Amino acid sequence: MSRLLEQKEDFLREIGQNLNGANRSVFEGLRSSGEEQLSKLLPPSTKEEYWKYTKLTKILKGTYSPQQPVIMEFLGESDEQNYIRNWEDMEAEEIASLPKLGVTDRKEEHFFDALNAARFSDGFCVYAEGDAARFEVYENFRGPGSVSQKRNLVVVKKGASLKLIHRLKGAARGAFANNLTEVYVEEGAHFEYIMIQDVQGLSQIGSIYVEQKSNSVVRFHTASLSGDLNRNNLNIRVNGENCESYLDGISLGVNANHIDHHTIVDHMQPNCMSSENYKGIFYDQSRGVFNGKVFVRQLAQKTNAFQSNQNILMSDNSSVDSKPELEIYADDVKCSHGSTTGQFDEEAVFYLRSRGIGEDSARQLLVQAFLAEITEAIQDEEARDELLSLLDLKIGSE
Amino acid sequence: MAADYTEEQLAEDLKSKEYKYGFVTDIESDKAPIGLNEDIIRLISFKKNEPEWMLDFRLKSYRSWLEMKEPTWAHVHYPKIDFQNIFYYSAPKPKKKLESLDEVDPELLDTFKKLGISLEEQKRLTGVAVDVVMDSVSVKTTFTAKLAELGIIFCSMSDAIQKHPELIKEHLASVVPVHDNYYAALNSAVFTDGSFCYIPKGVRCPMELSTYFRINEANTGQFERTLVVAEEGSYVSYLEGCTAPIRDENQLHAAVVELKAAKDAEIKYSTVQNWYPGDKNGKGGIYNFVTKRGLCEGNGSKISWTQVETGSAITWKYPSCILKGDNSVGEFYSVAVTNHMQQADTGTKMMHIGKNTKSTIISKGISAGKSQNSYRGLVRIGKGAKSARNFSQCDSLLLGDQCGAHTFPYIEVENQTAKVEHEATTSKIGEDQIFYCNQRGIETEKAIALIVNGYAKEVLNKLPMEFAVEAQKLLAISLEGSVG
Amino acid sequence: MLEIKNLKARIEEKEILRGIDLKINAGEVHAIMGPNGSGKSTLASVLAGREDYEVTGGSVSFDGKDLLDLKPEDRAREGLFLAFQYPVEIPGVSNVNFLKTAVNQIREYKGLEPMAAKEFLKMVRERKDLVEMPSDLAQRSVNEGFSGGEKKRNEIFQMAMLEPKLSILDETDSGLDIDALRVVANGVNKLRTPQNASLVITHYQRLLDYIIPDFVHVLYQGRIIRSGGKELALELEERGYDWIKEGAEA
Repeated sequence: MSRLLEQKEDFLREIGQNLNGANRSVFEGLRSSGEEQLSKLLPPSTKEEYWKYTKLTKILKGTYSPQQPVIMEFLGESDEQNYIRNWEDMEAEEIASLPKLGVTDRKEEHFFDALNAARFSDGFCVYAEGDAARFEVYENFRGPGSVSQKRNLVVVKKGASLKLIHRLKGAARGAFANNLTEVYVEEGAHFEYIMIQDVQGLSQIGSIYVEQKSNSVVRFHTASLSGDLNRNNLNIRVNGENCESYLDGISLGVNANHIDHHTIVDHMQPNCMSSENYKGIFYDQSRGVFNGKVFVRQLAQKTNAFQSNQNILMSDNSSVDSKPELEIYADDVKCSHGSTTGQFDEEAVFYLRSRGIGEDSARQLLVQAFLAEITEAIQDEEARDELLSLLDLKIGSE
Repeated sequence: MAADYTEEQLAEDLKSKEYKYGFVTDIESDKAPIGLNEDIIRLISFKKNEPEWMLDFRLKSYRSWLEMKEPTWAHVHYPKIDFQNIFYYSAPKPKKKLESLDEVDPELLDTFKKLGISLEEQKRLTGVAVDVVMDSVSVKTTFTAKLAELGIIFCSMSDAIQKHPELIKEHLASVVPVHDNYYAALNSAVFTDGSFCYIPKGVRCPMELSTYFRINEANTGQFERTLVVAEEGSYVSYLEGCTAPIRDENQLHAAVVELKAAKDAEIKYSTVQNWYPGDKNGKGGIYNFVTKRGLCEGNGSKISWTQVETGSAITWKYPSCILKGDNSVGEFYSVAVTNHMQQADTGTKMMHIGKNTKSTIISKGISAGKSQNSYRGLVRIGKGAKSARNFSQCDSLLLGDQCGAHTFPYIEVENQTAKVEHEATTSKIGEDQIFYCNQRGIETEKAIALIVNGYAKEVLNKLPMEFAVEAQKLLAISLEGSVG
Repeated sequence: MLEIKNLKARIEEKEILRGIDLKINAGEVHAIMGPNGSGKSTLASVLAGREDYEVTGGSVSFDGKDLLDLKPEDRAREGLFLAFQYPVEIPGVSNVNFLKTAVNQIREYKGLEPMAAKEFLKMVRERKDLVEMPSDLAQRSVNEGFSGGEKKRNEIFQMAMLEPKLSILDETDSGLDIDALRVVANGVNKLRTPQNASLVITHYQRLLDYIIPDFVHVLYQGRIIRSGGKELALELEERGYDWIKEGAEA
């Protein structure tokens, strides 16, 4: 038996199967296709291009206590038009009226996607029809070795507007999370999603699949502030004209943390724009990865796509791997990307010091200034303020 | 100067619409049986009268090749190559030692004239020392005597194996190990010739050294091997050019080029690659799978790659620099044009190991027709590469909506004090620029040639003069008929 | 030389020129004035053959040829020159190389031999003084990194080199200070002969102090609503456009 196969079996046994409230017949199709894929697939290794810079050994060899629940709490007013609910609290007909989970793409083709489909234990469903829906989700990690696999669905109906703030909080040594969120943004809809990852000891793989229709606008902000391993897969299919997609993120690496942002923006229709901006600060032995991929299909003329990844290494032992990629099959396009990695501008530090600011404060100020572009892009003021104060706290303590 | 290449000349060149190097030279050749096995390798080695250690080197390479798999990660698609349907040895007859040009087969001399490299003229006017490799065998190396006075060795690889075995033993496969990759292993097993160049300590090579490669025979693979060694404080500028006849079937070219620069030495390596690209529908053309690597071994050494890639059906090529010495410098300047059904996956690797190492990457891709053009490049800053610097600029220009332009940079940084900057843009050729030229009376096809040459100028300027002119012509010719 | 009859043109669905009539004879300078959005630059673009515009009606004859039937480069070769309002930058292509290509393609069109390099360079030296071009501008890439004034001077320099029959100056005064304006205008005046003609498009009267027109036309909503002598420009300067607009709308 190969090493990977062995690892897979141990791992699947360890994380267990705890379907909780999501053990419902309406999900049977998804579960069985997940199971089927799972039986065929091996866990990814760094030999695969998609996982080249992220080792999963620690996750695969972990010891877990799957019976430890990871509790979700929701904030925000639900009504007929806009709501957020657990799968458990939804009628089967209601679920059937929504886009079917797992059908938009061959999502189960990746190991962790298949795993989620086969074994997700819970999740939220957010539905918005109104023009000012706003919800918050807290996922609280407590017990060491806890396992969380949530399957989430977000539907923003035609012309609607939704803001969703999703927080992973707490501290749980050796915990594992594998969430998968499907997002449907219909014609003319607006969606802003703010994800704050701040769980000490957690290793998490979070995948988001977005389907965007004409004239819609999406904004994704992902802040990875703590956790042993954060791997974020954000995939946007821009399947309508005149769409705007904004993706940005902050990586704050400390200790031996590993932060990996993978994005795919697939432009399938003409006259759309996308803009990506990821910034990272890496202390100690932390490691950052950015892999952004933009596809411009032949039909997608007049696409305007932009990618930027900037990293600052704060320690001799920190490192960064950056891979901004463009794959372009249409000609009337404007696409560009930039990536920079380096250390602080010592001139700037010196300038601040010469004005009487202590060295630590000077660096802190510069880190905040470096990240400001990302925080300023957050439209939801409350979430922006929350993130700013979290950053102040964390950078201040470094 | 490159800029002085006038439009009259260009117009002249544009009249020949087809691939103008597509003639076949009718020279009788001495071929080994088709296919590959240990006996063929023994035969090659025997024909070349090689010492035992060379045969061992080849067999070892062959055995490691058998264990390896063809790489599939590049952004190119082609039918599987049948490695048993290739001639691995083909030498123009008569194969005897040539002392002067008079002894060269007149047909062959004619070939060189068509290639635009009349040996005599080159000898007289430009003082370029030329080594011509035809179907894997070096035909004639000019200027050897003059170079020898300076202690410079410039000869065919076969001669070098006979005359300078100690140098070959020391340096061959020291930059590209035989098991480095699939095609490098194959090359190490079957290479039939190539060029060797050795510049002793403190010597500045007074002329450009040049090799022309040509595949002539059908179904023949070309596997040449080039090794350039620059000792402490020396300098050399090396040029290579390539052409092949028009043939309906695909031909394989799997070369290995190794460069080694000692302390404060500098090697400038320029390529104008114009292998037959296949016809409009993708029939025929060269598979150009090449491994090129330079080792900046000594402190303060410098290796600079410049390439203009217009030919080949498929190109798979990443001229690289290993920046081992402190303060060493690596450069990569590239223009890659693809038209019709061509596919190119090309770029570079800059491996920073030493302190204060610096690299620059300027890549200009131009895609037209139904071609696919990818830049793939790695910049790696190792842990010890204190204060390393890299700047990369990769631009792609699209002509027409059937082609693709792709950018795959890999940036790996393990040292805090490094500074790595990468920029890339992809855009269509400017319609307003074309209109502006039209308004001044310049037709669209010529306007495109002008704009593309301007776009590529930063790279073309890095080429030695005689190559720059040829490269400009090639760019214009390769884009013929790319716009309706 | 140029005769425009009932010319109509649109971009996408928007009709911009709604029936223009204009006749220009050799030796004449015409000025077209009009408020923003009246269609001035569209007229210049349509005459030069920009493909974004669709001609929906009317005709333009240029020295007896149907201008609208010609490709943009053939219009240029026939002697029509447009000094662009916003000259485009062409990185890496030197002015000299660019012009040499243009001059010789025009010569080829006329069945002439290409110009010898020496003769060409002599011509460059002579003509560049006309617009007080610093010599390094000729070596630099076409318009790349040029200031606004340098770009406009370069347009006139090109005009001097290509010796057109009819020059259309599209808002050549925009973005120029008074000194640059004088240099540009001087260049245009020196190039004036009884055989050629100019069409000066401008929003302000200022340029017409330096390039004295024989005729002034006011363009409004895609039509020429008034024509007159050079006094008309002064009147417009004094009274603005409103009084003519009212007349036109009434």
